[in-house]
Amino acid sequence: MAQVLVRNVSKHFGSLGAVNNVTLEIQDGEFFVLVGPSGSGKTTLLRMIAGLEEITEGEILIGERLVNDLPPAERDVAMVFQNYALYPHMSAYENIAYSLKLRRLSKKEIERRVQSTAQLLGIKDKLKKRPKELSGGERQRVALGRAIVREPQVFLYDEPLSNLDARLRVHMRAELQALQRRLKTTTVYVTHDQVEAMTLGHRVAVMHEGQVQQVDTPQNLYAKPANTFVATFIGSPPMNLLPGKLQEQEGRLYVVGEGFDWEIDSARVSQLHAHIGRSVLVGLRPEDLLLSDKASNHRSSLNIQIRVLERLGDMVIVYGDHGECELTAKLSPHTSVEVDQSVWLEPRIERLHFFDAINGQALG
Amino acid sequence: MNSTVTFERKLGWWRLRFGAGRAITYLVLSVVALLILLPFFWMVTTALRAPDEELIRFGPLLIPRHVHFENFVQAWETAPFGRYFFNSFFIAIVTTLAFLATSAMGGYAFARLRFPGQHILWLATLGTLMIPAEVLLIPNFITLAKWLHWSDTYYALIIPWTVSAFGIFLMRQVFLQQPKELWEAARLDGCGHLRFLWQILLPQVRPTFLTLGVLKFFWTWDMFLWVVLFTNADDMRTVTFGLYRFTSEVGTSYELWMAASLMSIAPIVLLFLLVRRQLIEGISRVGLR
Ligand SMILES: Nc1ncnc2c1ncn2[C@@H]1O[C@H](COP(=O)(O)OP(=O)(O)OP(=O)(O)O)[C@@H](O)[C@H]1O
Ligand SMILES: [Mg+2]
Repeated sequence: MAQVLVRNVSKHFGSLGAVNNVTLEIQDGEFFVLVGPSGSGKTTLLRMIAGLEEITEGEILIGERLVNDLPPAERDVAMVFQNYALYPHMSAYENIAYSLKLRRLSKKEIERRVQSTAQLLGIKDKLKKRPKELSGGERQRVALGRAIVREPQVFLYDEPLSNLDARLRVHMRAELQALQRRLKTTTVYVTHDQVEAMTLGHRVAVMHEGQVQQVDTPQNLYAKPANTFVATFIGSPPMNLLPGKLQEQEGRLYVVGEGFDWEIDSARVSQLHAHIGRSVLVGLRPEDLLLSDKASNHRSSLNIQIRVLERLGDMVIVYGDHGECELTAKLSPHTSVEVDQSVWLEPRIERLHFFDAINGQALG
Repeated sequence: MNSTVTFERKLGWWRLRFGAGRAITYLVLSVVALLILLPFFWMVTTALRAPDEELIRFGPLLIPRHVHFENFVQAWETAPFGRYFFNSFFIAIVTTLAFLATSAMGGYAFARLRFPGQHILWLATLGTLMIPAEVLLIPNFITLAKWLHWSDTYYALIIPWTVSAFGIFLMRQVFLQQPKELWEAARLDGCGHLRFLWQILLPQVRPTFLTLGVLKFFWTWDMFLWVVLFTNADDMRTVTFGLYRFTSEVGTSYELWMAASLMSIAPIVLLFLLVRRQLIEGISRVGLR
């Protein structure tokens, strides 16, 4: 087991910067997730750690060993590919055993390790079958087995669950988590699915346009997004963003925008004081908007006309427009609202997020 | 309602199985098959008849009155066929194996490796495909016979045929169809290029590879002009050349000629039967004829 250090790593394909100056410290035994939209450079970064892609700039260390110039086989990492990349002409057993054979382990030792891996993954009775004769989930397990059997220092996964149907994906997600807890092998896991990222990762790095936007625990990513990209990428439906201005009146701090005028709770005043007079984006999670009646102070509530309404059983999601901005709110399932109805929504003031209107960075 | 559908379906199946269209297809195929088989049948009947039988009766469909198996023995003894067969086998096997190796490795290099000058080399390789073999006959003769003095050696009969742009081209194309992740997974497992080629990649394209090998064996076995050009010594000659010995100024003994011909195609027929299934798959897969 080992720590993985990525230091100022960049990758250019011609003039395109796929990965730009990324630095990460992945702890020994950590389940580390790289998440981001398509084309953000996740796979490229993972492949550089694996040794399948040359590093344009920077250094990668695995267990204190500089691996920049080491071929993949000598890095002691195992990778699970999105399409599994099993050897089609070999049985599940041979697929799992192949790397051990190349390392000239004894027949007995190979047998022992393949069997115990198969046991762990519940595919003992499938070992004689070829990949073609296995279901998607079983192939996935064989691919996992091929990685596990080597007992590598690091596991690298590139969207390993994306070829499975929704139910199986949820199931395998839980299994992967249990597996990692058991083996305690450092894991780097690439996905574009934020639910996978949030459920699996001890820590998650959010990537965008080749750069790491934030590295943090799932809770912190959600509670304290570092910028508007992370704020809107993590969480579904995404966070609402409203333009406003920070203003001071009679010693109190307000955020003022079209149709609202909220007093900021005293606990955060000192934090935001330095930004008075600045244009900001106010972030509001959909679940932090509550239905209110107009009778209360209307400058504290936002008025929208419901355009779309989704009843999900455990909640109702409403979409509407507030001036130029689209607003989304998650309401209790017992709320009686209709499409085209005009409603007032009041935020939980203490849960507001503030971002610089120009560079999108979190304030405070 | 349901029974109508079932009935319709049955009718469709029946038509497919026994209908007029089907019958015509079978008829045409049968005629073609007969046309192809007829010369073989003629060969066999000719090979088994008495030398003078032709004087009395004629025609491809006639069964000989007496079966003369001794024609084969006599044909075998007319020329040093033992030596010829050895030469044919030796040349065909060595050429085919070497050709398969160069095709696989060359195709792999162009499909998967990146090296300086690759593009130019690839164009040059393709370029040689465009040159008709006849144009090269005389330059090749000069190179091999005059410069290298390889006349009457196996070198002249084998080495020029061990590499072909066609083989490299074909293998490159089928290698390119294989997913890139296969190599990456193998690399992580600790595979080098040669081992990957042999243990992982070639098994994926086995039908094509085998077809290429069988065709090469056929072509090499059939080689005639080249043998005439580069050999004078009898012990360097091959079976196809041996067949030529039955026509002479004195006349042609057809029954011996056909007996020898049958012996000469026997290995090819055997080889074909051995790999028939893979061969059909390979040919339909690459659209090669
Ligand atoms: N071999 C390559 N040659 C040229 N450009 C490449 C290559 N591989 C990736 N890229 C580019 O690099 C950028 C990052 O690609 P990458 O595959 O790392 O994204 P990703 O985050 O894994 O996306 P996805 O979620 O779609 O898999 C993309 O713009 C992609 O087009
Ligand atoms: Mg990717």
